[in-house]
Amino acid sequence: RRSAKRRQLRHDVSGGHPGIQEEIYRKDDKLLTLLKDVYVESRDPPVRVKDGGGEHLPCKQEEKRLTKLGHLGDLDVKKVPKGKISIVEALTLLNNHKLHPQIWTAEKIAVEYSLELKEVNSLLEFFIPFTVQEFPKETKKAIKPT
Amino acid sequence: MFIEGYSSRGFTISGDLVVGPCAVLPRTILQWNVGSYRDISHESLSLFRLLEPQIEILVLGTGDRVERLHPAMLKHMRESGIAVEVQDTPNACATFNFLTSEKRVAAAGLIPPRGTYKGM
Repeated sequence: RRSAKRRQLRHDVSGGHPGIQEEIYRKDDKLLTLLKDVYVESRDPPVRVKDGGGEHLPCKQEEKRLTKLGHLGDLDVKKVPKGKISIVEALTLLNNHKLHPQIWTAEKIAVEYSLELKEVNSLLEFFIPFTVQEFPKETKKAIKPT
Repeated sequence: MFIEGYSSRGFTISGDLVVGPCAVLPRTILQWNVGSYRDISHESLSLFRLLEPQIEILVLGTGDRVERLHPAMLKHMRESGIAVEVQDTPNACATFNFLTSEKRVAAAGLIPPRGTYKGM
């Protein structure tokens, strides 16, 4: 129907229909209301940022390793490329180091998770698991307006 | 995971009060040991780079105002396949929430603004 209307429109414009210019420029409230309900969702795989160049070079075969088991079942990542870590692993190694820094030294972590020592040192310096504190409800006091 | 509020002390993220700069990762929050935007470096962004599955976009909140970060560092992040968005912290929180609501694999590094508290 719409294409028919468009054809008609084109015909009208070429045929010099007098009212058509007005109709084109008139605000169509019904159409605007319908447009508000339109939501476009993209299902294409996300575009990776390209690093330029190098695209025609043969890819080096990526080396993978099995992850240390997590507790999230199906959500867990089972395999990661060497030099990378899963979220569960990151949390585990940071927590281990926080609790037992003498046992979980940067060197040991680097070996266990196939990471570069330099990267492990950066991780341990800048990312620290939070200490969770529960605030008991009864100590919360509402401030009374004066 | 959504950022529900921020103050000069920290953030409210999914109902948890978080004190100080923080790294928001898929399903996880960590303390981010930076003092100011000057400490944002190749090293202090290490975890964002090392994660698998890879983070698509990293939002950095630099505090009260958007600050200029080292171009070489930003270039290196892009080369590792991570888009980086640098904003002042209030806008960074909103951007992170928007990206998360659009189901993008987003992460954030947020430094609390010094200004007074505003609810979001």
